[in-house]
Amino acid sequence: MGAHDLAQSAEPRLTPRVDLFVDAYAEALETLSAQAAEHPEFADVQNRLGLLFYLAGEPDRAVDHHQRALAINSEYVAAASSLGYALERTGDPERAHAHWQAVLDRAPRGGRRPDHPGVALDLAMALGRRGESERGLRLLVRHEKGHEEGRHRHLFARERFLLLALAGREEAREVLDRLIGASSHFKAYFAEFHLAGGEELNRPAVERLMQERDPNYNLADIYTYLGLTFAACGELAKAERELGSALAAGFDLASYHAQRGQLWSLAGDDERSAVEFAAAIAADPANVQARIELGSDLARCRRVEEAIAQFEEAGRLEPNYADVQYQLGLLYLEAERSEDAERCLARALKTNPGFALARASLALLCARNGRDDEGLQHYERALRAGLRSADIYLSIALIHLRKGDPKKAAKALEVGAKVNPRYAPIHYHLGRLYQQRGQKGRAYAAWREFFHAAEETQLTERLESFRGELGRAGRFAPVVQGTRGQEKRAQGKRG
Amino acid sequence: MPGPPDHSITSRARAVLRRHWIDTGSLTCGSVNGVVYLRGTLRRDPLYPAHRLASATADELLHLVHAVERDLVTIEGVKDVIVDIEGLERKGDHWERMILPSQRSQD
Repeated sequence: MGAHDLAQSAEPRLTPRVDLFVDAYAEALETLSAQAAEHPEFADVQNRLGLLFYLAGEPDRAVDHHQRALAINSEYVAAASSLGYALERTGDPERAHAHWQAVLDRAPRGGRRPDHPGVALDLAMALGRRGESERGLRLLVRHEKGHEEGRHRHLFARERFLLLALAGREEAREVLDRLIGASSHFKAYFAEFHLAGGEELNRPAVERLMQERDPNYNLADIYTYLGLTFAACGELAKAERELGSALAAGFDLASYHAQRGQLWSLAGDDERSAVEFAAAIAADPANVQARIELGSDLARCRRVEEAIAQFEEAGRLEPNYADVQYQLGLLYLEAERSEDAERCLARALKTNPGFALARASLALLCARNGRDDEGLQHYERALRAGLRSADIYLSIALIHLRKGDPKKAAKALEVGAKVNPRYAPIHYHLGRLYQQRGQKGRAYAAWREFFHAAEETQLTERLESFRGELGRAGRFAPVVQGTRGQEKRAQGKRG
Repeated sequence: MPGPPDHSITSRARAVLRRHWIDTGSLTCGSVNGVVYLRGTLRRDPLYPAHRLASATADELLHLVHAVERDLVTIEGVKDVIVDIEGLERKGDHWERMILPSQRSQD
């Protein structure tokens, strides 16, 4: 079957995927419909609904939802792209081509706004389907500039291979070999295109792929959505299958591995999710989110230095991402690199001065390094930002004690005890302070609260601390072996 | 003296939120000196299946905050959990919807 024959059978075959994911389809439809009702202003929801109806073989309803998405946001390129496919399915390919061409004509080339490589791909492949491969190739080559290293480079390469193969051009094999070398997933995908011995291209297989595959790579989004819906229901095998479909549709290796990483992360398997995020970064080194996720996985596996390397790179790629600087600061704190930690926390606060958590971490760092006045200032600003906890009041009290101001310390501890009466350490310090001030009754009451609230480990720690202090003062000989009750029982037995 | 494991705790706390399908875009979550802070608006991730929400009780949000708090407390190294969620307030051991003054006057 030649290119013109292909053009004769222009109506692309709809793969009725509904039978493959009946449950998830119903759930996805229900979820998206509920979201559309609650948030009629979300263009993304309308677009996903359109894709879902497209998959279900209802192109008219798909057209309606894509048009609604574009009515909300006329610059929504994915909706513009998908509208073309839905129009093709309604049996009006000419209208689809005209629509894509209009989007491309609207998009400035070489201006400040990016052009629309996705729509160019749509139109180029539509031209290929109707037997105008050379024209499609020219369009593709023109729009591929600037995307040779981007995350969609493999998609461009696949479509170029198909158009070259249909046009009977020799370069097709070279493009195919490069794709196969890029990933084992692609090797499996293109397995049938080399005839035995690898000498010749399997042209019928190319024509079959061109005809049978679903040409709408925007479906990668909805496959991912379905995959994560399955994951929400705990069906990881089905979720993986949908993500495989997303890869076949979008040819975006970085997103595929990142989504699989998210899947394993949801399943609580940090080792496997780290492997996937590392693969996502290998496919797209500029993927900041994958670096953040990999860094977090590595930190959870106690590989702090490797985690730092990932967050440092994420911070280099997105210097104004306050949360990256905050997390990097915490990692440096764990690695006892105070100066680096302070630099990062300060940068997080410079980007977002209201970032109370970063403020409190910086206060902690200052206090630990003996810079009490700075620490106090940061704690007070964190409190003003609404970050209230007994532990912050305890930290403030300890600073006041170091500065020789027990009155302010007691006040901070009393406020902290009101904020969280169940926070044991604050009662302990309050008791000690009252004792030093000769307020025995209040000290007794505070320690009673401490014994009520404290866990066994905290009690043991404090008792050890008491014993050490009394031993050093020469007033305590650590001879008690058990509780008073145990001793009485032992005496009874001896008697 | 090693620094507090605040990054490990923050990372684990955020993993807890993801496992409960909570939209992390509307919340801030982090640890300072072993105390976990959770602040903002609590809502499900848009991907959470609608039928599960429908089949849950009307006070799904209250159950959710309770479950999240319970999971955060069990993270190794956590000394305290401070939950400051818009529209919810703690009453003893359980959570209740906060009644705004305007709602009170309507009653």
